[in-house]
Amino acid sequence: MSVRALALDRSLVVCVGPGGVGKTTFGAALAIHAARAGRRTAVITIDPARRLADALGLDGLDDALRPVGDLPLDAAMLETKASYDRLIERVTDDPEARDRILNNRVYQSFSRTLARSHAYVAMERLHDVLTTGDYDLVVLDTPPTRSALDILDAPGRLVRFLDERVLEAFLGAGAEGSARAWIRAKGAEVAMRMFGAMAGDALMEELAAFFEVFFHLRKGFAQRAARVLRTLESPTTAFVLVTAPDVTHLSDAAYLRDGLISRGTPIEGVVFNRAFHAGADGSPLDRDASWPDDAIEGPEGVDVVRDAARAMRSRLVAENRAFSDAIEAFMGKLPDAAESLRLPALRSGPASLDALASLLDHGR
Amino acid sequence: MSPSHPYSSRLSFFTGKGGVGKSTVVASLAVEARRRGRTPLVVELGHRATMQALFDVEHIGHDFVEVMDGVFATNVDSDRALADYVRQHVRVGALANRIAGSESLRRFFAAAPAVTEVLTLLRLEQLWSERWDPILVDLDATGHALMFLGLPSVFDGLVPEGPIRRLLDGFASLLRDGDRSQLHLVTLPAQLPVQETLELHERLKTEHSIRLGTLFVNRVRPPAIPESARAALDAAVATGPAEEDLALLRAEQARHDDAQRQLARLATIDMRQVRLPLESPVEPVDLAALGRIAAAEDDQ
Repeated sequence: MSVRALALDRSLVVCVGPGGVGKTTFGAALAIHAARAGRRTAVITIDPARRLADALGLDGLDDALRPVGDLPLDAAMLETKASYDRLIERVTDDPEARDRILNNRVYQSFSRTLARSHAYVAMERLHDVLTTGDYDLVVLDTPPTRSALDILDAPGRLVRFLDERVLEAFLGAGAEGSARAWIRAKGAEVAMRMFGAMAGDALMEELAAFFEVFFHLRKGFAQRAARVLRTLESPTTAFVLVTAPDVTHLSDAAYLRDGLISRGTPIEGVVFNRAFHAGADGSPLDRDASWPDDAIEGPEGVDVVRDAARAMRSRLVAENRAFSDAIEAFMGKLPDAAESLRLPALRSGPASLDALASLLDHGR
Repeated sequence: MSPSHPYSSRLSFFTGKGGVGKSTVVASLAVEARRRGRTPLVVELGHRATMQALFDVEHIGHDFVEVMDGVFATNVDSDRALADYVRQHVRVGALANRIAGSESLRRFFAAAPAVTEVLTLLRLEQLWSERWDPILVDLDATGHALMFLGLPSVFDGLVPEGPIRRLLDGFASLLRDGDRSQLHLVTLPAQLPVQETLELHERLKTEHSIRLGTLFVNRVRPPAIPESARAALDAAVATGPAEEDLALLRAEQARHDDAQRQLARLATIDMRQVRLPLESPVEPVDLAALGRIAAAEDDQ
């Protein structure tokens, strides 16, 4: 199925890829494509460039879904701290427990500053959007390469961590009591004592308080994580790898490709941005120049211009050939069902909804 | 050598927006350091493959890999760093192995945030005590770098004493000492990376005390045509199929002009600056050649 068709067929499209390849822009373009075809669509972006954020009407102040233009399209950007706070507010019915978490210093430090928090938040936000039932399609943007795998691992990791047996090791078998109990509990006693000696009493107290509240929330967390995990593995989800065909980005993308394959995650589409230099008619340049000298006239120095123009074209044609070979080699490592979409090298980033939508029209 | 040169302190951190070519700069500086007879070590953090691809080696893990003659690399693996730490601090071997091998503990640490970062510090402390010079740390994108450099203050008050506090204090004083450590920035001469670099530089100056070393501007494209033919390019008229090629040439020149405007914006940053040439997108990077330019000492 073509990458464009995936957007009309699936209920979740996850875009993964290295940094600096236009992944966020592509995700937005795909969402607009689906919305224009009448599907109710949400796009969750991460760190969109200013012009893209403006085009989508995102101000970056929170992570709320906002309508985009007059399409059946909503967009949100992930903001770790805001998303975390909303999450805690949603999952805690008891206002006292909620305040205890929000004011907990471990929570405050971690939710604001720690890179990996992002993965949990992305997962929770995704769950949030999926369960509204308001959307036919959700397009999820992910952070660059390395953390993209983190995001995919987060639900599983959380489920494993919250697995009763693992928790029991910390909390002591059958313990339904306080989190302080688990610090004293048998299984983890030595490790925790050591951790306590390393970290000191203050951190241990805060951690204990954090886990005490967290302990009672674990079922909800685990259920949501399990649900997201099921969704990610479902056939209604498609993973699309976005990259550029230059040597550096392709090797990053190959790492991701192999990481996904080894996780058993099928990659159904690969988007190559800046995949070819296009001529005036939009098709890839494929032949060297063959025009006589008098085809370019001008003042003194025009001979230099002619030579430079011919050399320029030769270089672009040669790059197009090399890109094409590299793309075929890359696709060769994927099952035949995976389709590629090649987008041309665009002069500057699209800045309007129309420009975003037409981005895909230039693909081949 | 300028005090801002990446070889003038033993420990160098590198950061920049995703996709600007940080790893290429770090790798090329390591290669050049070796050529000058030093013992460079490249340190990668977390899930990455960039260094493996740059040096064309199978795998870079916790154990040092000689990625090129005399150039070593390591990837900080928090599981292994944890096991090392436990073995150092728990004298009874069997007990240490039980803790280090505990699946529950590993899962706990994999899920608990901050632990990875603290373990990374432990590993850096260990590397610092070895023979490496320079140690070139390829930090993740800017957000992660700021968090990492801010670790000591994140734990302020939370961890008033004990081994972790000592570790954090040691790290904080290392970061404050410009003779021992520096932070270098990598950017591209394009609108967004330049904007982010300007903002990052401002934040670093006001919020962090680490010495700012060199600003590397990667992929600076040459002019499409010599300056002497510039007037001819502007005035030239093409007919037939040559129109397309003249337009391509002018577009390339326009990209060059735009890059020059972005470079001018970077001039407001009071850091030593080094410009690196645009690499071919279809050839593997020549690290040795790039390293000579990246480590050139004459100020530009």
